[in-house]
Amino acid sequence: MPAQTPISWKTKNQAANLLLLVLLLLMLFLADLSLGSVSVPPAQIIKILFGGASEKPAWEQIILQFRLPKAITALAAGSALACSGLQMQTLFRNPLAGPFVLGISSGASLGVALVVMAGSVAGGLFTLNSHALTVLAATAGSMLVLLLVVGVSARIRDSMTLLIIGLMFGSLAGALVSILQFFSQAEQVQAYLIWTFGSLAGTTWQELAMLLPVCGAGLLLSLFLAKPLNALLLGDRYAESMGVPLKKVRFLIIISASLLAGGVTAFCGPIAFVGLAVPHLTRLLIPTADHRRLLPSVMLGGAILMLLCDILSQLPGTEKVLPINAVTSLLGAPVVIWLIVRRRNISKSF
Amino acid sequence: MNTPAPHIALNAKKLTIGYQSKGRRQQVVQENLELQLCRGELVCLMGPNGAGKSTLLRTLAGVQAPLAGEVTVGGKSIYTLSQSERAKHISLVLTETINAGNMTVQELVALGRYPHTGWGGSLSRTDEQVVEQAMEDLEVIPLANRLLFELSDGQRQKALIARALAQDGQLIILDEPTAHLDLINRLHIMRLLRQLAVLRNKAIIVATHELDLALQSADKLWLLHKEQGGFTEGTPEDLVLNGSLAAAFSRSGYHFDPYSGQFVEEQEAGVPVQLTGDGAAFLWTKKALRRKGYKVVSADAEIRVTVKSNPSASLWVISSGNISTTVYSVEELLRELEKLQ
Repeated sequence: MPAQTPISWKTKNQAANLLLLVLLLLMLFLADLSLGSVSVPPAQIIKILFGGASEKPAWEQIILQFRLPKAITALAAGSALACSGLQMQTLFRNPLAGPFVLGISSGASLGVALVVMAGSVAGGLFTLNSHALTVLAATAGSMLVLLLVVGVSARIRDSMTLLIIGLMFGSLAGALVSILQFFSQAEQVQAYLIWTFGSLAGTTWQELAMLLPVCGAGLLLSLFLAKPLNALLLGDRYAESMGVPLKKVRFLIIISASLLAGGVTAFCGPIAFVGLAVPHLTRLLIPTADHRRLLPSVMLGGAILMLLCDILSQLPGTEKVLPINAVTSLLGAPVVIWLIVRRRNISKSF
Repeated sequence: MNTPAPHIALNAKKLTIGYQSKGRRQQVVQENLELQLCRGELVCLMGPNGAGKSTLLRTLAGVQAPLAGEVTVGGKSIYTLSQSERAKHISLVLTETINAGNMTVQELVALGRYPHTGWGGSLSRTDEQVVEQAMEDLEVIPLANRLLFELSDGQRQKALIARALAQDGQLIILDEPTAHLDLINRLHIMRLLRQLAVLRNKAIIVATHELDLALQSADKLWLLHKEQGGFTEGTPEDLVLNGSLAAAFSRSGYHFDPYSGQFVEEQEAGVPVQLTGDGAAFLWTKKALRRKGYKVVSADAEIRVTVKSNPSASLWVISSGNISTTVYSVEELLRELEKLQ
């Protein structure tokens, strides 16, 4: 006789929550397209997006060539960084882990610093300073760190060791960047600093054609890793005892997280905070430990936060645009503090 | 009654455990162990610190390769099985703390189905039934939707055992499952484990330091001695009676009392006290006197204590020479004895 149990296997109103997030995302996406130094009415935007002609031809230009790629970049960057951060937090069982703990952004910074500043050190060898070159340099830098981390991870058993080694790679790259800065001229240092502020606006449609597949691959891979990520919540030893091939899974998680973090950093600069905070925010709003639900929610959450930050970075009614890196932290930090103080159990529930 | 032939779950032959690090000599912890465990049996693995309990557990769980010998589970060598196949035979309950606070008890137990589900991890109806049964066996159904960080230590331990049970192997290995639990919870966990062994036909290995608990609940004891090669196994009572238990833990200054089943501090030559009486009051008085360093004797001594008790109260008569005092608690008794010296 089957046991009479009050256990339910249905997931409770998670779908409603997800739908709410999707709606919020669509609204913010539209708002992001609409707001700026020139306001475009939402109705006109929808007309433009579906190929119609708007009242003013300039609007088409603004929306299609400038704001749409920027909004899509925000969407991709937000979900990529948040998804990367979630995977790192679960892999290392550490609430302070984020997409850059393995030194990915430091590698990218080193690459960009070399291109931007080594020119002056080597005597005008690299005078070219286009966005495309920066992207190339950042990609090369983060790939280098990625390869080093993957090489190390194949040798060691303990994930905590890997975390420390990642931090060391970061410090090494940081030190090299400092040396470069020390020997560079003010304009080059300025150019490098501006890159570190992060920017969503620089991406062209051609660049999006590279960024989107990279992010798509990373996000898709993470969805395939939902099951082992769930097992890793219990720690490495329990996961192994349940049959998780630890080294292989760790390798795949690192690949996914690094593709996401590296890709975004290459095109948008090192955007802080989103990757660390969004997983926490999402877990506080949608309390679940199941990565099959957590991963999509975190991706949505990251995109929402990034769009919101982008909207706020264009100071309303002015021509000024704040650096996105400052806005993410300015907006995000108080929200996270407020939520943690209210809920109190973040260290146990990450 | 016709009983089926006992099903051997775990078999270890000429097992040598220890460590082999690169470029260094092998470090042998125990040699030539012969172990056998049947389904339906609960064995307690005991031994002093450093005797190799953890090494043996890791080796039997397939986490660490032996230096020599073979371990089979259900007739298959566990070191040749793939990791996920091994997970279908052996499940573990470890000592490490779990930080997944947002996980519900039900989600935790469902994770036990990991080696049985596809890449997405979704549960079939059979999986769900196994999980429900495991939760029922461990009495955690009322906790199904509670988050792990809200649980007491005892509840969390039951949930973790339910997870191991849901993994549905024939062998469950538990490392110190009763550490940090209060007395009743310890007894309760061990009773549940006994029931699992019998009702769910599992072979269960419990590593523990708690002698009294092991003596009460184990079908078998595996004793690792401190010295290399020192291994004895058997029914707990036999090991008490033939002195193996005393030998395994032997250490100067302590000896094993086969009457109480406990290790006690060796008696220094203290002031002799002749104690007479019976019942619980007699035993507890004896404990108290020993703790205070008196040598409890049954023959003539200068100080004599007689315990008189009925079910509701006890009294103690102290006589020394021709003085006689009556007291009504052990505390008073100890105070009076101190005055006599």
